[in-house]
Parts: sequence; C-alpha cells; structure tokens
Amino acid sequence: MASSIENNNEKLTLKSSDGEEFLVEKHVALQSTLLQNMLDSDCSSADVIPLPKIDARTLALVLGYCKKHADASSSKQGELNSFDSEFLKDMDMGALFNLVLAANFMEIKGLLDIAAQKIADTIKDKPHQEVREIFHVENDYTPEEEAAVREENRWAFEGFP
Amino acid sequence: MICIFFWLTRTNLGSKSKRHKLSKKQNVLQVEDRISNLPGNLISRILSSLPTKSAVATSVLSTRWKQFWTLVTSLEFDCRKVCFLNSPYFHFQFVQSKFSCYSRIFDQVECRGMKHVQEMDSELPVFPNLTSLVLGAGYVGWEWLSQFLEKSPCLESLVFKEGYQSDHYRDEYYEEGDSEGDDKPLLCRPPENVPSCLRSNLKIIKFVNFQGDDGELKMVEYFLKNAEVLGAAGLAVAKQQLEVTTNLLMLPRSSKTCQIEFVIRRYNFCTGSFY
Repeated sequence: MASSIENNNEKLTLKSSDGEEFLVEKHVALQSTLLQNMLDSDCSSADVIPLPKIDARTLALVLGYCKKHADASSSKQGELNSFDSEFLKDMDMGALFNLVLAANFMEIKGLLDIAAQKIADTIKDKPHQEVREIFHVENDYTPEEEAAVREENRWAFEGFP
Repeated sequence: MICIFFWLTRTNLGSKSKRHKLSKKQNVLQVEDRISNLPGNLISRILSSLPTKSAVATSVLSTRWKQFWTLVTSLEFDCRKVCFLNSPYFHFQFVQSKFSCYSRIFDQVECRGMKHVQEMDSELPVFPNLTSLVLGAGYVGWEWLSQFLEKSPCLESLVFKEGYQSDHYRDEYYEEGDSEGDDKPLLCRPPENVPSCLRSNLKIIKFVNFQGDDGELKMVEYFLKNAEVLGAAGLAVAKQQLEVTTNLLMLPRSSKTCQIEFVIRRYNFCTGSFY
C-alpha cells in the first residue's frame, strides 16, 4: 500500500509540439495507454516525454480530462458522466478534431469514445448539405454520380432531408 | 489493413486537385476538410457511433465518403422489408441467385415495382472492421449471407433478430399449390465453402425469434458444424417449441467450448422487440 502511494506521487514531464512542458502525476498519465506502455517498458527514463503531434492547448484539455478520471473514485460514475458531457459541450470543431487526434495518439479510450460520439452526433439527422458545410467537405460528385449513390443505397436515404 | 491504407492514400490523391481549385476561391484555413483526412480507425469509430442507416447515408457527402461506411465495426439492418428491397445487397442476392431457388420470390418482388434490378452494380464491398452484424430481416438468403460473411473476415457476432423465417415468406409470396412436390424454392442448401470468419472469429450467434422451421434448423446446424471458435449459440424460442431444442443439442459442433443457450421468448411491448 505504502509503495503504491509513493508511486502515485511520482511525476513526469510531457512536452507539447509547441514546446510547453506539463508536469503530470503518474497516476494521471496512466489514463493514457501510450504513456502506460512507455512507463512499463521503462522508456520513460528520459526526463521529458515529447508529444510532437499535440499542441499545448490540446494537451492541457487532455490532461484535464485524465486528471478528473484518475482522481474520481469508481463510485462517482454519475459525476464523471456529467463531467464528460460538459467537457465537450461548447468546443469548436477545430479543437474537437485536435482532441480526437490526441486521444487517438495517446490511446485514451474514454476520451476517444466521447469525442468520436460528439462528431457522430454532429453528423446525425442533419441534411447532407449542412454536414458538408460544418465539416468543409467538398461535394465532388457530379449530379449524376450523386443520384447514382442515392439510388444504390436508397433505403438509407429514406426519410432523410 | 494494408488495403485500407492503400485505398485511403488513393482517395487522398484523387481529391487534391479539387481542393486546390477551391482554395483559390476561399481561404485555405476556412475550407480545411479535417474529417475526411482523419485516419481510417477514427473514421471507423465515428461512423460506428451512428445508426447503420445514417452511416450508410454519409456515402453521399463526397466521392471519398462513398465507401467510408464499410469501415464500421457493426451493422444493424433493422429495416424489415421495404428498405431492404432497394439496397444493392438485396439486388446482389437477386443477381447471384438468379437461377437458384430465390429467383421466383424476386420475380414477385419485381412485379411489385422493382425496376433496374439487373442493371445495378451489386458487388459487395469488403467490411474490414466489421465485428457485429444484426439482421432484422427474416428472409436473408444463404447466397447473400455467405457472400457477406466472406467479405467480413473479423465478424465475431451474428444476430438474426427475426430468426430465419423462410416459410413465412414462402407463404406470403406463393399461392396455394404454387410450389408442389420436391420444388421447395426457399429451402436452399448451405454453401459448401466456409467463410474465414467462421474458422477464426465468430464467437456468438443468436436467433432472437427462432421458429424451428427447416430453414432455421439448417442454418443452426451449419453454424454449429463450421464455426470453430463459437463460444455461444443463443436461441430465443417460444415455449411450445422447446421440443425442437433437444434435436438441436444433438447436432455436431466443431467448437469444443460452444454452449447452446435457450431462452423462452418474451415480447417486450415497450421496445417492440423480443428478449
């Protein structure tokens, strides 16, 4: 027991793509499978772990998520759920994409799930033109090709705006 | 996996010139299409968080999205009859089985307003990530199913939400005396080839509305015989059909760990479903 408390107090330093350093408690870092594997395989002997794909703003968000989940006891699942839904609530699309890519890179399953779900919810039940505008997807179908795609899976478009 | 990356790279190249054209008109930062450029595993995760119908409908967004939905990890065709009539896979079934036992039923369907059936490009795509398939239609044919399984190498769970009610559809589409003697159009033989997912991945199979007719029994027999790593076969049966279950328990199983589980079927009026 004593040793696990000692371990919990260990800290490591993460460095964002834009050079900012974050001092993180080990038990918080363990929310990331990537960091967990690095710690397990003793790759973390370096003082600073660089995360070249993640900028400081995103890394701060990610670590905020990890800290909340690492500190909460399992009995507080309801509290965590409301934290999760608030966490992404007013986030702009750019930040959301940065976050989902960071969660993917750092292998943080819970964060990956809620970020992917948030993107899916943005697509769901919206007219396709609106989805294209939100995500800046250029429609490069010719009208004939688009009609053929709709025809091919006509059942999927029934009732769609 | 290599195939996906190759395909993503290829589609990437295809869209570059278009995007370049657009950037002349508008600020590049404003039109950056980040969602289409996500790695395949993230696209798969996002589309898997959508209902199947919405996921398939994203195919209309752009040429790159045409096949993205095939990266999903689960598919649930819950549309009973009508919408399936228009899907290419339904057409696929028709084309593949033009000379087999299904043709007559499709003739009927065609008479009811199906057009251009044979003109469709009905090639089934590969579903590289698919682990869960739920079929809400009771009339899924062997031809279609075995092709689909062949294209889904990672499939772990297969659920027949409406059982496999070949007789029900036969009664509906055929008039009295229409199928006589040995001519039983809907009782197809299971395929001789065994899709690879049965050999290495399929762990769960469920019949939610098991009626115990010949077609269904053949289906269960086939899966027990060929699914080598099957962990559980679940059948929801009506109480009066429990006698069928003894026969099922006698069927040979290739998986030594397979448990057959019977559940007395109950209808949940709130959700409109069994279990």
